[in-house]
Amino acid sequence: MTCARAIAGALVIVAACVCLERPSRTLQAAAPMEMRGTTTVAVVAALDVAPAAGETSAAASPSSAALPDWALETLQNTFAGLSAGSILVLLALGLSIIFGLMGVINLAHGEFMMVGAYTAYVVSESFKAYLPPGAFDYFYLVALPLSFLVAGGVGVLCEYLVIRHLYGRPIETLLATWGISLLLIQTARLIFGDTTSFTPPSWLQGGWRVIPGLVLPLNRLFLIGLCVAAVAAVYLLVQRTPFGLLLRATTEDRPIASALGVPTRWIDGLTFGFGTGLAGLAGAIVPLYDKLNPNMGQSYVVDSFMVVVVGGIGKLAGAVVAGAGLGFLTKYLEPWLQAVYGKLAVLALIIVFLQWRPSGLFPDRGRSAES
Amino acid sequence: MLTIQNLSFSYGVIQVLDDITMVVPTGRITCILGRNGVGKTTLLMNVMGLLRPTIGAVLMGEHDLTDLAADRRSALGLGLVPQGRRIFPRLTVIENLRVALAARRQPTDRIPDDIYDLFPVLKTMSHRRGGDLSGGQQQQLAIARALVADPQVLLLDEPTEGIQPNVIQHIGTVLRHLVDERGLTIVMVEQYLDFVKEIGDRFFLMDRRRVVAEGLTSDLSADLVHRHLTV
Repeated sequence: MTCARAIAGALVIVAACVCLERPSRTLQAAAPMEMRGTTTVAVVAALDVAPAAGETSAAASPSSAALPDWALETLQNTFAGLSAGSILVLLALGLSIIFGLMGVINLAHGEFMMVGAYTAYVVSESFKAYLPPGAFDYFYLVALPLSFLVAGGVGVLCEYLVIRHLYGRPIETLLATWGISLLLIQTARLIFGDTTSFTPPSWLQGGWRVIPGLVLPLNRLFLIGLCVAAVAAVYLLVQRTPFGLLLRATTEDRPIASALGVPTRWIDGLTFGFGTGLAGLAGAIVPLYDKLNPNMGQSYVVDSFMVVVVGGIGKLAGAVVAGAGLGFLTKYLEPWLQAVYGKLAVLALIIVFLQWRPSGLFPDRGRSAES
Repeated sequence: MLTIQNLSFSYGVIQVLDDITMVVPTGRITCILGRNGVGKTTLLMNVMGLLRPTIGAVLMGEHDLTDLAADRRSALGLGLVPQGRRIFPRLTVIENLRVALAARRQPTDRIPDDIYDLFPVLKTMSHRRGGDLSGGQQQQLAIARALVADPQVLLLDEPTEGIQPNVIQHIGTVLRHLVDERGLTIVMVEQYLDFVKEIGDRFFLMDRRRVVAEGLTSDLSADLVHRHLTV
């Protein structure tokens, strides 16, 4: 356990360094989108208001919205926080399951996300090239499951070729997964070049006008919905299926599970594939609101490591609460402190939090905590 | 029939087992005796496949188990009740029991009724977490969990350690019943000499990495006990 704490501490430091070095890619990535979001709001609100109150020039003022400014802003920030948190939750789920089962800190997790994103890109390009234009809108329905499968498949391959030889040696796995991440980044750069993007399907463009003055972008709503579905699926898989039972048994006591007939080698490979597949799924969502580049995973993975550490390592509920919490906190602090200082404030809060609760939000209690 | 042939094992440079040979009779309770640190638990781990011998072999019937992983040995009919019970603490009692069934992809995940006949206390506890059970309940769960996999040979590592007398009595009755009525073969590491004499058939006595004596438990002489067991 002390080892896990040391690693957690080291990660927070790494996170801090990375954030300072390049001021918060995640948030920068998120920021233009949010601005896009707010401009949509402004534009739609203006369009909405202008014809209705044609003659009176005063009608164009924001006070004509159904809610006061501060309430709208709070709603906006809540929504932005929820959607920023959703991506982190998707990534943290995979990280957390993998660490809980195998003790592997997967530094390449963000690159599996990148693999998922480029899979979606390839599907989109293939639809453009080989199918009639009318079919293009459906490419995303193919891209989503395929991103999961391709990222999961690459994950299974990496586990089989590299990681399984390094179980029980955390420092070596740390280095090896970092190596894998560099390899994947450079491979993507060789194939796809530096920055690309694709057109989201038309049914994910635009927004949903909830009340006058508040429009929620559809791509963000979709992201939140997908995250909820993924969390539910992970919960059911882990708690209700035979595979989940074997996964939990192996996580708790690997040698005894194998003495009861559990093929732990298979469980490891499948679990690693499942965790990286979830990252791939998250990756398929990013191009809906941001450009793709081979480095995209690195900015996200730092934040998702913080989610895992705050939530408690190997705790699914912890990952969900911490992911959403981190999203809210960042978005509420940003308007006050700007992106970079907001990020620093979040980091400082996490460091203080870990002094108070070193094992995260949901530590084990009672007899079983000692084992 | 379980056979251990010329088995040696080292943790790094420290040799723990030296040229152990044992022929374990089928349908009997065979006890492995010895002081702390003579290598009894290490021997069971080697038989189960959780440790790999430096040299030597483990055979069961016509199968050579030596190069097989523990889960393959389990599928061939070898079961383990480990020292300290090693219940999955965050799994419920019923989930602890289901692990072996799930591992075998059985069409039904129903726990056989006779498990609850042998250990009635588990029925009332079925939705409690394993880690919240008392030591005696955990020991019964550990035996039941191994039995769900329907083993031919069951390895037990100190099943009486830290257990109250009437539960020890119950465990002894159950083990004897399994051997006499169902032909199970039991290999049991045990320190509690009265228990060994009461339910055991044969014994192997170990001292300093080696087997130093074997025979019927009824023939376990005061001299042997004095030389190799008393401190």
